[in-house]
Amino acid sequence: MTKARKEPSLAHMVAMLLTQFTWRHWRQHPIRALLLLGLLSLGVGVFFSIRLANRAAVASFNNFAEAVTQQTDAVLSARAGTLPESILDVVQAELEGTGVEIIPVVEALGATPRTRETESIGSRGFYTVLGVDLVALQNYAAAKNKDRSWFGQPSPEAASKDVGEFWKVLNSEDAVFCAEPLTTRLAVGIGATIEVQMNDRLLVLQIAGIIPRRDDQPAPPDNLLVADLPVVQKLSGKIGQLDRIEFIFPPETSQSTSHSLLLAKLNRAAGESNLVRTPESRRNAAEVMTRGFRLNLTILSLIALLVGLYLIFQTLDAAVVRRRSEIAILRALGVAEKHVEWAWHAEALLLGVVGGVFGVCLGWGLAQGSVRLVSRTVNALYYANNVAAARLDAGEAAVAILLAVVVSLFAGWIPARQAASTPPAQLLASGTGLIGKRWPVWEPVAGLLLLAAAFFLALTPPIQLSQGGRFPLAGYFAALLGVIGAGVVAGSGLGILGRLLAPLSERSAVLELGSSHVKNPTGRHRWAVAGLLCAVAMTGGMSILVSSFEKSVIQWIQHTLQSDLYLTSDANQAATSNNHVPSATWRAICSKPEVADADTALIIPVTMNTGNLRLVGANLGFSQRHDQFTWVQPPDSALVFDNEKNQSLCVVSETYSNRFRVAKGGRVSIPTPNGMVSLEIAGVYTDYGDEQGVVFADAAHVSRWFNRDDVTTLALVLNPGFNADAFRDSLRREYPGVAVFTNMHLRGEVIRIFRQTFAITYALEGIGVVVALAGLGVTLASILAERRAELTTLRALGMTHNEIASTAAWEGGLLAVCGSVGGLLASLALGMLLIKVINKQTFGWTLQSAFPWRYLASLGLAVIACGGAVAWTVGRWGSALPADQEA
Amino acid sequence: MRTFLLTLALTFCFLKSPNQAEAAPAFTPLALFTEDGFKVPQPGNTFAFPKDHGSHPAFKVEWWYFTGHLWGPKNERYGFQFTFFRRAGTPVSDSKEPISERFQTREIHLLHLALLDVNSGKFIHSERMARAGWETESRVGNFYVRFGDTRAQMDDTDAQTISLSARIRNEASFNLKLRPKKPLVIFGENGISRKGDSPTAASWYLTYPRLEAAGTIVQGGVETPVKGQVWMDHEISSSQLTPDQSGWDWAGIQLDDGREIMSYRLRRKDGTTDPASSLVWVEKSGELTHKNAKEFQWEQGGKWKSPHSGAAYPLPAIIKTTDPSSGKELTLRLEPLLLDQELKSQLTGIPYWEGACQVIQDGKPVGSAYLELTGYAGSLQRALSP
Repeated sequence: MTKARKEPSLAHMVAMLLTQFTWRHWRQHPIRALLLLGLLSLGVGVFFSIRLANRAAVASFNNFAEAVTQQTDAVLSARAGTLPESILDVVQAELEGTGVEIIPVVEALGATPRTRETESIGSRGFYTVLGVDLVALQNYAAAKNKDRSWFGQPSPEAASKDVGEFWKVLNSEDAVFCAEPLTTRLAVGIGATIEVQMNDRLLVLQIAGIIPRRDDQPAPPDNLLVADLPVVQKLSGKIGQLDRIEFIFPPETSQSTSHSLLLAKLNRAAGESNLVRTPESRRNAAEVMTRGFRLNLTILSLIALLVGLYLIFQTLDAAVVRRRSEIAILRALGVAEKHVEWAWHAEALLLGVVGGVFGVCLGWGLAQGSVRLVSRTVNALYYANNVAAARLDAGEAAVAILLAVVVSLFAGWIPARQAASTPPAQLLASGTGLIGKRWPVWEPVAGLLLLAAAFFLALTPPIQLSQGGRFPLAGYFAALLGVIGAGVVAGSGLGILGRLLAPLSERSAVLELGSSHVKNPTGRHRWAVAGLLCAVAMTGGMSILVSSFEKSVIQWIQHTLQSDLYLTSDANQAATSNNHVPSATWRAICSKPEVADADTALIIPVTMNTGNLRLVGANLGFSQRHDQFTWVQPPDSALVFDNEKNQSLCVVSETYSNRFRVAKGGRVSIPTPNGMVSLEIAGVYTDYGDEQGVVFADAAHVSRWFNRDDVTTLALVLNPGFNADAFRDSLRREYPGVAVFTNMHLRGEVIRIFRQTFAITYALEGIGVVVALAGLGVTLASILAERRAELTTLRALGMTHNEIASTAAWEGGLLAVCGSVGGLLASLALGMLLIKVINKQTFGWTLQSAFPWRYLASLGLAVIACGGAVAWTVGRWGSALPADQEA
Repeated sequence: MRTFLLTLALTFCFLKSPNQAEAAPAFTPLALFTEDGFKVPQPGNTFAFPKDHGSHPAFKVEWWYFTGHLWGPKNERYGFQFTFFRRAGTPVSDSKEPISERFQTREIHLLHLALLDVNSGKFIHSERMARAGWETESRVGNFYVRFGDTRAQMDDTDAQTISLSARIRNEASFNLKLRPKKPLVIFGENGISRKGDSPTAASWYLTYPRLEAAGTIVQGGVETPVKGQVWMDHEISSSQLTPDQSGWDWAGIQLDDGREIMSYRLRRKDGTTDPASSLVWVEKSGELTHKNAKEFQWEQGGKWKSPHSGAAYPLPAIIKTTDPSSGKELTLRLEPLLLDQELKSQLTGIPYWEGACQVIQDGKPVGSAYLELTGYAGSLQRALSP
C-alpha cells in the first residue's frame, strides 16, 4: 500500500517556480530585464512626480496664521473685498460667553524689489506679510514656542532692553518678524532691514526678530513676514479693514460649545455678504480652483504608463514564448495549470512592485523639477505660492506602487493564462506567443467599434462637480478608446503597407526581407505600432490643442490689448497678488498731457457658494470705444457702455457663462459691503485670461459698492505725437513702485506666461514618446529572438551583420512609419476632441483650430528616424548569434 | 497696594527733577512727572466719583483688583481673584493718532482670574493680555472694564453697586453682584500711598474693604448660588517700586468682628523691610489707623515650595501688630485654604502666590484673608518677555 502523496501548496510551488525558473531567465537577460523595469519605473515615476508636484502646489495654499497661532476651527471672510473692523463688535457680541478665541488677520502679498529695469512678470520672489495682533498673540504663544519668545530678541536676559523691545515693536510702523531660513538666505540679522514692494511703494522694514517656532506646528514658511496688525493695515492700505477673522473653538464640553452651534452663531454674525468656512473647506476651495488643471496634468502623466502597458504586455508574452519549452516540460512533469499561471502572476506582481519602488524613487527626483513647473503655473493662473521642493508622501507612493502593480498584473494576465492553458504538446510545437500569432480577421472590426464608441463618448456631457467644476470623464475615455481603436486599426493596416511597398523592395534582398515581415505582421508588430501610435497621437493631439490655444490667445490679445501703456503695482507677481495703485497715483497719471484716454480696472475676487469668480470694475465705455471685446453673445443695445445707465448691467466672460450656466439676459448677484447687488447680463465675451469666470461691471459703480478708489490696473491711450517708450521711462522714474508695460512688452509677457504654463505638458509628452520608442526596441528584440532560427539561416546564406541590421531597420522603420502616420492621423481627431470637448468641458473656452503642421511632420519624421535607428541597433544585436560568439 | 507685577515689569523709568510735591518727611518729595512723561499721583488730591472709579490714562499703570470669599448653600467654600491691569505705552499727550481705533497701541490690558474650590481642592486660573481696543476696554469717567466677555462695572453710582462676570476658559465662570458694606477708603498719608523713597514710587490707593457679594459660580455646567464678602482695590500710579526692592508681601484681612487690615511689606534685596511698608486698620466705622514699618512684623510660619516654579513661599504668613482698639499685641496667622494657589504667569514670566487664607488668632479662626507673595520665583525686575 502506497502512502497518498501530499500535493505541494500553491505558495510553495509558486515560490519554487519563481526561484528555479523565472529568476534564471531574468538573470540570463539582465539588459532586457533592466530596460523593462526602467520603462515601468519611468512611467510610474512620471505619474508619481506629477502627483507630488500637484500635492505640493495645493499644500502651499497655506493658512499662514496657523503658523503663528494655532490650528483654527473656522474662518470668516468677506465674499468680496475685505471685512470692516466693525464686524469684530458684531462677532464678539454673537460669541459672548462661548469661550471662542477671535483672531483678526490682515494679509498682504509683497514682492522682492525690482533688480532690473525690464523683467518678466512673476520672475521675482514674494512675501506673504501677515498682520496679527502681536499682543493678543502672546495668549497663544506663551510657553508654546519652542525656541524663542516674540519679544526681547536678541538678548532676553537684558531686562530693561526687553521692556524697550516690547514697546519699540508695538510702537514701530516698520517692525517685522521673519522666518529663520530667510535671515540665513539673505544673510541678515535682527535689526537689519528688508525691502518689500507693496502697492506702489517700496517698503523698508526692520527685522525685529525671528518668528518663534511652535511645538505643535510646522516651521513657518521662509517667505512669511509677520507684523503687528495695524502696521500691516497701514502698509497695505487697508486701514480699518481685515482680510479675515479666524476662530479657535473651545473643546466641545457642553451644548453651548457644540461646534455646529458655534458655526451657526458665526454664520449669523457673518450675514449674506460674508462667508464662514472651516480651514478644510478653505483649503478645499484652493483645491477646487486648481482641480481642472491638476486632473489634466495627472491624466497626461499617465501617457507614459499607458504606453508602458503595451510594453509590459509584449514583454511578458514574449517571455512565455521564450520559455515555452520549459513550461511544456513543467506541465509534462505534472505541474498543475494553476501553479504555472500563478507563477506568471507572481512574476508580474514582482515586476510591478520592483518597478513601482524604482518608479517612486525616480519620481521623487523628477518631482523636484516638475514641482517648479507646476508651481509657476499655479502662480501665474491661480494663487501665489513659492514651492521649491516636493515632499515625499507615503500615501502617494503607495498609490504609485499600487498602480505599477495593477498595470503589471493587468498586462501580464493574458500571457499568464496563455502559459497555463496551452497543452504541453502545442507549447512545444508552436513558435509564437499569443500576440506573436496572426490576429483574427475581426480585429479591424473591433478597432472600428472602439473608434465608434469613442465618437459617441465624445458627445457625452461632462460630470458636474462642486463649485461649478466639470470633469470630462467621457471625453477622456473617448480619447483612450480612440487611441486604442486607432492602434488596432493601424495594426491591421500594416499588411497593406507591406504589400504597397512590395514592388519597391524587389530590388533589394534586405528590403524584401524587411518588408516581408510587415506584409504578414504578427500581433507583436501590431502591438508595437499601437504603442507608438498611442504616444504620437497623444503628443500630436496635445500640440494641436496648444497651437489652437495659442492662436486664440494671440488673436484675443491683439483685440484686447490695444492701449499704448499698461500699469499695475510693481508688487503684482502672481495671479492672486492684490496690490493696488492708490487713487492719488493713478489720478495723477491719468491727468498727464500725454494721456488721451484711460481705463482703470479694479479686480475683486468673489467667493460664492456656487464657486469663485472675479469681479472687474472697469470703464465699459472705454472698452467699447477701443473695440476690446470679442463677443460670444453681443449686447443688444449700447446701454451697457453708458455708466449713467449701466448701474444694473454687466457683461460676463464665456467661462463664467459656461461654469454657472447663465447666458445673456440672466442675472448675477454680487455681494458687496453695501449689500447684494443684482446685475443683468447684457453680453458674453471671450476671455482667455481667466478660467474661473469674470463679471465685468462699470468701474464707477464697483468702486462705489466697495468704497474703493484704488485700482488694480490702468490702461493708457496716448495722444498722437507722444512716444510710448519715452513716456513709460518717465513714468517709471516718477513712480518706481508702479510697473509700466508697453503694449508690445505686455503682449510678449502674456504669450510667455502662456507658453510657460504648457512647459510641463511638453515634458510629459516627450517622456511618452521616449517610452514608446524604447518599447519599439524591446518589441523588435523579442521578434528577432523569436526568429533566431531564421537569422541563423540568413547568416549561413552569407548575410552580414550589417545586412541583418538593415533588414531589422527596414522592418522597424516600417512599423514606425505605420505608428507615426497612424498616430498623426489619430492626433488630428484627438486634437479636435481636446479642443472641442475636453477643453470646452473643463475650462469653457471656445478655441479656434490650429494645426502645427511643421511640428507634426517633424514629430512623425523624428519617430520614424528614431524607430529605424533603434531597430537597426536591435538588429545588429540580434544578428550576433551564438555561433558568431563561439567563432 | 496689590500685585505690582505689571508695574515692576513694565515701568523702570528715569526721574525728572524731584521736589515739587508735598510728601511725608521720611521720603524724597514726589515728582510731578516720570521721565517718560506720565503723571505722578500727588498728595491732597480731591477725588471725584464716579469719575475716579474709571480709568486714568494720564497715569502709566492702573488696576482694579477683586478678591473674595464665597460660600454655597451646602457649605461649599470658594475663593476668587479678578484683576484687570491697565498699562499705558505712551502718555496721552504724546500719543500719535492710532492707525486703528480697535488696534491702538496706547495701552495694553492684562486680566488675571483665579477660582479656588476649597472643598474639592481645585484651583484654576487664567491670564490674558490684549491691547486696548475691540477686545478690551477701560472707560474714562465711570467704572467699566471689559476683557472679552469678562467684565466689571459699577451699575449704580449712588448705591455703588458693582457687577462682576468672569470666565476662566470654559472650565468655570462666576457672576456676582457686589454692594459695599463699608464706604470707600483711601489709603496713605494725605491720600498718597508711598511705595519707596523714589520720587515717583507712589500711588492713589482706593479700596472697598468689604463688599457684600451674591451671585453664582458655574463649574462643569453646574451652577451654585453663592454669597460672601469681597475686597476691591483700585490703584493708580506711574511708577511704584525702587530698584533695591526684590518683592513684596500683601494681605487684605477681613476680620469677623467687622474690621479689616490692609498690610504690605516691601522687601529689600538685602532682606530688610523697606520703610515704606505699611499696615492699616479699618475700623467698623471706616476710620483708618496707620501703622508704619516699625509698628508691625511679618514672620514666616512655614515654607511651601512650588512644584511649578520651584519658588519657596513663606507660608503660612504671620503678622504681628497692635490692636488699636485694645492696645494689645496681636498675632494673626494667615493659613492658606490650599497651599498650591500659585499663579504661573506664563505671559509675564513672573509667577506669584495669591490665595485665600483662614485668619487664625490664638488657635481660633477670626476671619478671612487674601494673601499675595511676590518676588520669590526669581527677580521681579524682569522684562515683559512673554
